[in-house]
Amino acid sequence: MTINKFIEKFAEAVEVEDASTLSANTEFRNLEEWSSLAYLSVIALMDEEFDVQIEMEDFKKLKTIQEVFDACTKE
Amino acid sequence: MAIFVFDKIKIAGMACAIPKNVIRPDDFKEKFGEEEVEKFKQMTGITESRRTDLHQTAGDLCFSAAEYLLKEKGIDKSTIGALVMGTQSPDYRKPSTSFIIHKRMGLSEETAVFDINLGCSSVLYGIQVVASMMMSSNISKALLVSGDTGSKLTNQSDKSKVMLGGEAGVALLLEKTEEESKITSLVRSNGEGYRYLITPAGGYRNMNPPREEVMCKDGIKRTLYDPFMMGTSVFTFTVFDVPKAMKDFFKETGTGVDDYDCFAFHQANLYILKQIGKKMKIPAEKMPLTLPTYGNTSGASPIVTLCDTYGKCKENKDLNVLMSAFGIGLSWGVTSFHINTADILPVIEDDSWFEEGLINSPAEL
Repeated sequence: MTINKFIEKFAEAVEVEDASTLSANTEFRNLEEWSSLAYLSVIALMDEEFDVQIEMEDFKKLKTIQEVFDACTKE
Repeated sequence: MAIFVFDKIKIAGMACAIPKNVIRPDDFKEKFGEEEVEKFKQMTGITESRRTDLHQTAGDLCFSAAEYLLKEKGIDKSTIGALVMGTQSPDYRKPSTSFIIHKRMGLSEETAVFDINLGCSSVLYGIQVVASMMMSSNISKALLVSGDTGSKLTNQSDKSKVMLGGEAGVALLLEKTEEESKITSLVRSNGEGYRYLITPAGGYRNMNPPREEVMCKDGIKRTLYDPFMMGTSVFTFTVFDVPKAMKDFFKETGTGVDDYDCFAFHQANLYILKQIGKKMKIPAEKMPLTLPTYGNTSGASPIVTLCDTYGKCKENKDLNVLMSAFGIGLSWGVTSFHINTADILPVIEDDSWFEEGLINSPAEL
């Protein structure tokens, strides 16, 4: 998966209507749409698409969408 | 891997009793706001659930379900060799609630009776425990009951919990059989998650701390006596560990999704069940959801779901059921069994309770 495709999926999970407002460097916690439910959607996305089961402590260290993507693809 | 196979033991019947009083998330709109309630309904799928009155307990509901089950099945009570109750909402600090049911049903002295202190996984573990007892004894018939009334403890301003819990009591009859029948169970536990679902005070660790409400990290005020749920950790546990257990179960038993007619899951919330269903590629029509009408009824919920779905089914159809339950402990597992739809009784409503059991003064004793 490319980073652009991932951003689209990320936008869908977090319910950001216009994915083009996001970039790899977006600090997702600052998004208006970010919530505990959005967090669940993102970890479910990581699990479904990449079979990555991330612990909350590890997720807390991630700041940008790129970092989430990297956590999914680092293997 | 803790996997159990019980040959020639079957679930010969199941029943469910619920109280009449209906609670709707919509009733909380004034308290929590329209938007919060709509969000809650969307996430959990709950539109209504049932609540017991002040003195009615899970034990009362289980008693009603068990009496109804034995009557419908025409079972002689003296043949029941074990009565086990799974609950975290006992009638008393002690003795175990199963003894109250034993007395009320008039079961024989030749009965093994005890409670299992588990929540959402109580029926799943209960089947494993009761079937194990039967395998190593001359007991040919046993009753397993399960129920919880968690809402009685919940802080009424905890929007994460107060609209979630429904109340129900279920009863299962396990029987030795000459038919080809097999129950298979896989059970798992992880005490590392003991804080994910916890009621911290009132036990022997911290018996009488002040009942002071404190603002928690999730923006909800609670006392130490209130049930607490770390929603995000519970979610990750269910969507990661439950499908993993199911996959291991399939591998161990040489079966797959197509081999089962019905997936009776603990009705945690809609969002979690959808995730599990999606991940395991379970067709929606095979995965009944009863959250809309019953809410999350703790350990009873897979049986509530079967009774609601098949209780009124007129044809005799053999169902191969895959049950999965998961929750407080953490505790989870997967069980498969066959049951004829004729042995699944429809849900009954009952508000009766054991008035003799309400002791108002120690001087009465």
